[in-house]
Amino acid sequence: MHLRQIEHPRAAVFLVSGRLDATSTPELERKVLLSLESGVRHLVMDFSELEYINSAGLRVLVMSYQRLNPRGGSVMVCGVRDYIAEIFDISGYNRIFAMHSDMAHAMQEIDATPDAQ
Amino acid sequence: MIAKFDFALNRPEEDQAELLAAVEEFAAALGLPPSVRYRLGLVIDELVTNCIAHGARPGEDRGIRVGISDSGDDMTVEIVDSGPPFDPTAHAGRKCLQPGDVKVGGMGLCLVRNLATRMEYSRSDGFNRTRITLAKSIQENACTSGR
Repeated sequence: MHLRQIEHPRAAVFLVSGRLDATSTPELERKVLLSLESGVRHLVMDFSELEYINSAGLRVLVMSYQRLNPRGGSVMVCGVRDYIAEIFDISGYNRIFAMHSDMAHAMQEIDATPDAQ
Repeated sequence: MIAKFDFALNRPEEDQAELLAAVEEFAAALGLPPSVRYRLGLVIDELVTNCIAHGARPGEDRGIRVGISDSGDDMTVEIVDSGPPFDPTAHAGRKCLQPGDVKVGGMGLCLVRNLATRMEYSRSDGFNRTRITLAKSIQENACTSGR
């Protein structure tokens, strides 16, 4: 797995490539949960270069959802490949996370949503 | 012709990555499409992870054997492990997540249940035997129903 974080004032933004499995997920979990502690309302995950994700990787998204949903925030999943998107659809994760075709659409939605106080 | 795959994990935690690479190689050699290759690897990954989590204590026999049969329309996965009795079909959870009922536990077995057309478990001679059938032609529907 290769992980890159992009600075944004209202969201934790990560670009993840390669395999997200039991071996690589602890690094992602540590960095994502740390970034959410800053009080951001959204998590944006660019999965356009993600080749594989298992339940360990999905668990990081669910844990993030559990933290952000009470703040009125969201977990946005962008650019996921078709064969992975099918798993989100079948298992209902597409109803919990905001699925976007690419990161630009996710950022537009964040910019269009005012911060709740 | 029925294509077969057989892999023994003598030290499951160390051998799991090698197993998944071998499964991917087997699936690629069969010319399976990306969605079936991914599902095959994912189901095996989750079941083996589960065997490790619920498996024998250190010092006990911790062997896991993974078999795959390609019978044309279906792929059959059989996981045999020597851990304590554990029936994954009894812990596979509900079919679809609900926004107000999101839990971290049990996600792996729930994925397996969602992908399998059949899921069977038996216990014999001190071994857990879990058999999963995966359809090659993917026809299931997305979870779009109301709460």
